[in-house]
Amino acid sequence: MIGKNTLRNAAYVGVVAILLAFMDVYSSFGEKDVIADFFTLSQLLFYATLFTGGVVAARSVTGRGLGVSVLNGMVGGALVAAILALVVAFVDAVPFEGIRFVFANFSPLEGSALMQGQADALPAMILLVVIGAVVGGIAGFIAQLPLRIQNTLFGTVAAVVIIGVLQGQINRIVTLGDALAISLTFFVAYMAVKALGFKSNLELLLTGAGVGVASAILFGVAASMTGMERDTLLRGSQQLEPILLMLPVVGDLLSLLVFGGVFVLFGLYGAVATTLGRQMHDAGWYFMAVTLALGVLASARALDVPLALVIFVIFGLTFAIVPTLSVRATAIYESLPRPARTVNRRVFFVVVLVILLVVPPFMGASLANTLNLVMIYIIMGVGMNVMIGYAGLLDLGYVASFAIGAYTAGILTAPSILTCPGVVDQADAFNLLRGYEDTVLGLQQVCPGLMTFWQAWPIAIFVSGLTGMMLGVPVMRLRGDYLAIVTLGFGEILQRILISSTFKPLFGGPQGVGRIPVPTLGDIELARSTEVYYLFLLVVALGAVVVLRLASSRLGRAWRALRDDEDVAEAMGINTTVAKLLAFGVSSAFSGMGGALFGASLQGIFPNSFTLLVSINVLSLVILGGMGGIPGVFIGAFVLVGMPEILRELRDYRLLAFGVLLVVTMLMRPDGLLPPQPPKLSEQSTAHKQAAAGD
Amino acid sequence: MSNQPEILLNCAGVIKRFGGLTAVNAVDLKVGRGEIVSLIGPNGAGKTTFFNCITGFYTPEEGDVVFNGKSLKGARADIIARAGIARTYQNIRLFSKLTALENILVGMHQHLKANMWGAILGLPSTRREEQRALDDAMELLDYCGLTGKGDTLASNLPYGYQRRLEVARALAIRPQLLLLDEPTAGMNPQETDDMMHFIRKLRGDLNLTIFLIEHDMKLVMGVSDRVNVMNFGRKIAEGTPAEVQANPDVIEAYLGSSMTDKSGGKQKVEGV
Amino acid sequence: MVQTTSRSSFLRLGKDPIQTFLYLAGGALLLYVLVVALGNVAAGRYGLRDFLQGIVLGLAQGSIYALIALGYTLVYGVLRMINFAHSEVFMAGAYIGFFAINAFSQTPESGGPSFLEQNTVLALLLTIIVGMTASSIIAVLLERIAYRPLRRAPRLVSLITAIGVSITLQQLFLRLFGGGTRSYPVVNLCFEPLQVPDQVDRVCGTAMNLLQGRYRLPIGEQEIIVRPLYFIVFAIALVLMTTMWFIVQRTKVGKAMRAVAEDKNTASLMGINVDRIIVVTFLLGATLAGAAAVMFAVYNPQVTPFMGFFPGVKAFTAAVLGGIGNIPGAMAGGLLLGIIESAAPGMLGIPSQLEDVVAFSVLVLIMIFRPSGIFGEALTKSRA
Repeated sequence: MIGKNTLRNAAYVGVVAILLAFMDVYSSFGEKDVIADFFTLSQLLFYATLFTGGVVAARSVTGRGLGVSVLNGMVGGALVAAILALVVAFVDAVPFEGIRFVFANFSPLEGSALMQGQADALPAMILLVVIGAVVGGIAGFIAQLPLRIQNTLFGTVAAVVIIGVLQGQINRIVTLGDALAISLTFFVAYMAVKALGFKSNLELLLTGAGVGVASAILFGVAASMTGMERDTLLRGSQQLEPILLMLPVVGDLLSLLVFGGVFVLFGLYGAVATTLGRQMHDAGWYFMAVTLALGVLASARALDVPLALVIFVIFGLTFAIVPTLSVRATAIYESLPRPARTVNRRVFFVVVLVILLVVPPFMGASLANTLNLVMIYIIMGVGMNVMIGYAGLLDLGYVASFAIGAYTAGILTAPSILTCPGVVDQADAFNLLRGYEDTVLGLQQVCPGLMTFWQAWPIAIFVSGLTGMMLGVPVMRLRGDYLAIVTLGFGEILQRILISSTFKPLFGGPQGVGRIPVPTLGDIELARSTEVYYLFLLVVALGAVVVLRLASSRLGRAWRALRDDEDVAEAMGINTTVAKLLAFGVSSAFSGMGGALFGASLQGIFPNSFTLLVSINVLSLVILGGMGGIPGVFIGAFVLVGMPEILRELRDYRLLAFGVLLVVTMLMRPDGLLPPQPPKLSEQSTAHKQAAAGD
Repeated sequence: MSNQPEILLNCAGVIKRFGGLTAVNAVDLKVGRGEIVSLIGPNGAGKTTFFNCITGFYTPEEGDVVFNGKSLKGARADIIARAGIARTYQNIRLFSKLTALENILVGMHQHLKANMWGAILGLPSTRREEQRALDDAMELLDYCGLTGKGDTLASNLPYGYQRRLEVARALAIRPQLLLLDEPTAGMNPQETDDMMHFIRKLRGDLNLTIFLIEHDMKLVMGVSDRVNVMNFGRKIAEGTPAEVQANPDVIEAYLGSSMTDKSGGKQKVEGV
Repeated sequence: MVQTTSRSSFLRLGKDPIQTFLYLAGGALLLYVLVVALGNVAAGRYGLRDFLQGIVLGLAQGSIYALIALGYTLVYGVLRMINFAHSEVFMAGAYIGFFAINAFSQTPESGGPSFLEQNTVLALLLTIIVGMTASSIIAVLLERIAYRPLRRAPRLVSLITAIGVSITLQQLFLRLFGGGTRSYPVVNLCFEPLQVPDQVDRVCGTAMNLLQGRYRLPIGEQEIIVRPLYFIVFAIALVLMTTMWFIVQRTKVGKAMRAVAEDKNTASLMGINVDRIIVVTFLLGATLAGAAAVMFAVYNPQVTPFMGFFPGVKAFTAAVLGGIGNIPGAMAGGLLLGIIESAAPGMLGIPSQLEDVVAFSVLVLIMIFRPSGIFGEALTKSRA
């Protein structure tokens, strides 16, 4: 009845649980609510551990029926809980000071999820085992469900949990009314096309636009009638201004046009989504689900049980139906003639563009900062992808070119010994500034920078690309793992040089380069994070286009051939030296481009920002997303950089999670979350096009 | 051999050592333009090493390899490929994570002129060139009997298709000399027969010179103009298929090897 | 003779512009180093005294590098893989060793001297054993969990896994044991038979303090500072390395290790349990690293979760210097790097902040001129 691996596998989970317990994860997040008055983060982690124990145990006995699965799950969960109960007993028996000396992060168990509200150890231990058995049993039951239901369930729970954990940062993004307006328009347009069918692509587009107009009129009237008074349903109860639904209340022509435009756009997207490729199709649904969930979240002070249920339903439905719809949409999409496909794809890209362009006003400065950071990492990730994903070269000194870009641009634009030759030290330059307000203008008058950001930027890109190539030269003939360590050496050498007092006049030593002016556009200073956002967005878009084009070019093929088999690539007439050097150059140029922007957006750079960890971060996100693909980099950056940035409580555990993620990804899914799909080149051949045209 | 055509490849006294082992020992070998020449010999005779010396994977310690009147000794493999020598491998070495079409396009690398900037900026000339290359690749795909397999990853192709794709990739180099290293290894008799016809067709259609290593004697005797035999790093015989078959040294080499290598050697002699 | 085939031959300078450039650049750098060094010597800023001082210091430091380097080399020899997490195996030894020695240094409830004070040698030996055990356990676990499933995976995959394991271990120790600095207790060990009458130690009087003492040793008219600890570390390292050498060369397990290093498939056909031998390899390397870690921590008393990084990278440099995969090479490379590191900053006038750069520069220079190391096999040709 009990599988022979059940106990062993559950014991593994138990060992991890012990580590987590002594890292204090079951106690230190006791305050942080995931669902108000119901569930704290420690409790969540506690139940998740037991659940994992149950699943692992139940998976050890696949194919022996529901009863056995549940039983093994119960045993697994109870075992993990029993191991945790031992921790409780241990802590109860040993003087706290002793434990604290070894496990410095450990805190007393009172209020910990391990005590389950009990004051004494023994009842808590008994309760733990009982809970473990129950949770494990449920896990065993779920493990027997069809895989698709399991995925839906896990996805939904994960979504609710993520929203619950992040609620403090994301509950002021969009009002319920705005969210409803957008998502309902999309939904109705999608369903209308499904119900009515369409004979030509034009009909499809017209349906979408029609739904958009209808829904604009409906929501416009509703908004005008309520006048967007406080506490109407459309507005929600948060102190949050609706943006979309305020437009008809304002009522001038421009506002109305924008208002109608947004609805038509989402109507079109909803209609077009019925005939799009998988990723483009799913993106729409998930975007709508997230928007709606955010709207629901914004309608109350905190995520309580009823709201959590609503969000659960939203995501549950989405995850349940999207895969089916997705298959159909892709099938229709594939059967469309090329021009129609292009049109549909363009509609999608316009929607994405509009969303990206209008998002900043919706989010606060802190969220914009996070997003900017994510985009910096995307730029670096796109560059590193050239190295590791295409050319198969692992560069652990990737941060070096980031630093070179940042310092080049910084030194060229900030007051430095280049422009204030008499000034030995930066501190002296700042002393000169007394009496001036600390503004770009004052700085420029006393001790100007050599050039503007826009002039320095290309130079920084060029310099980092060139140094990247030069650093590539000595390691050209080395195998992968040597390359990794030597480049790691380069990164460390550079950081030492930047910090050292020997080069202080130029690099500023540990203080780095300060007072870097922000980029200006005419008279506008791109100082705020919501403004720099647009610059980042532009760079990310350009970067993605450049790399995609390179990837499908002669050079990109040479890189990938090099990665698969260097000797054969050479025998096919590829000059591998040149190809590798170009990979070094291109990826370093990207990194330098990001570095220059990084320095300018922070208005200062410190050598401590350029540690090995940056390289590791970039590596992790590329690996997690899937080597060799651009969408993967985006996903990776959002998950690995964006999430921990928002989730401050977990920031301390971020690197640990990175390490574990790297290992687990390599063991379970070496291609990453979104591995690149092989290109369908034959469809682009002239013969194929002619054949298609002849049909 | 008096009526021999212009010499395309001339290897003279090629020596390649690994530590104490002399894998290729003073081998002289000529291949004339338009010929199909075979190289046979027991396992470990140094045939593939000899190929590697021609294609620049190894640099021979002594001797010279002259192709089209120019010495290739010490040249990098990519330079040799550009000079017009293409090869296939004994144990198939395709770019496994590239599609069949991409594999062929890699072979065309040297014939494409577009640089990085052309690709980044999406210049019309680059696009036209890519389009032309793609169409050529499609044609090659069809020529080698791989129609419809263009978008399949090389590693997902069935074995026989992988062999053909390797040839297609080599043809994309537009070589004057094609080196085939055991093109029928692992094939059944029917497939081997197809390959024999394909090799003949290659010479006829493309005016290629072909130099091949092979164990299948039916194929060697069926397609070759001349046969060279190697054993223990030395060339021990050369001549028409009939001459070689009658050569006592060759029979000795194979029988001798069959005593130590019962599984492989014996059958091959039966093939003779 | 084999070397003539590789592309690094001087005879072929003209054919490979990159190699030519490298040689020129590397040559220029070496020339510069030489000129600066000679200049400093000529100007009297660097003399024989400094050099001897450097050697004394360098031997101790170098023998630690050598011990760690052996771990890299052993694993590389058998698996052809650089075990990135080896520096964390080292760290684990020092860390767990700390808890042991800290426990030994507690004064008993009844008062009186602690175990560490009473039986110093025994306590230190026990600490070293604890360190070795901790390192071994970590190494075996990581081999089992992370490396074994990837034995046939592409090189890049196992490399990334190794990096992931390295970060995981670092962070695990940080989160479990906290980020605060922990220091090994100061241990004195008086050695009565050796009297140093002219230099009085606070604890030992005129007896020699083997662990903490610093003694002036006259060299001609000048003198250098010597710590007996340096020689103890050197001696222990020598004993350990000899033992290891004996195991690899003379025992059955060692023979199996060499067979697996040569060809895993054939070795398994010969009835060798390859998995077991690989575990033994990890174990051997980790044992040495654990011992090195405790000794390192005795004279560099602060332990942190990140302490493994620099010794790790430097030991790797040492392994490459001697030729990775080559056991005597790792020993020689370690000692050589130790000496270079302690002699070079003074000789070249490198500011103390940049001292770590020396080792990295050595690494880069070997890669340019002789990637196969001083004694090593040729590894330049890529065989992914």
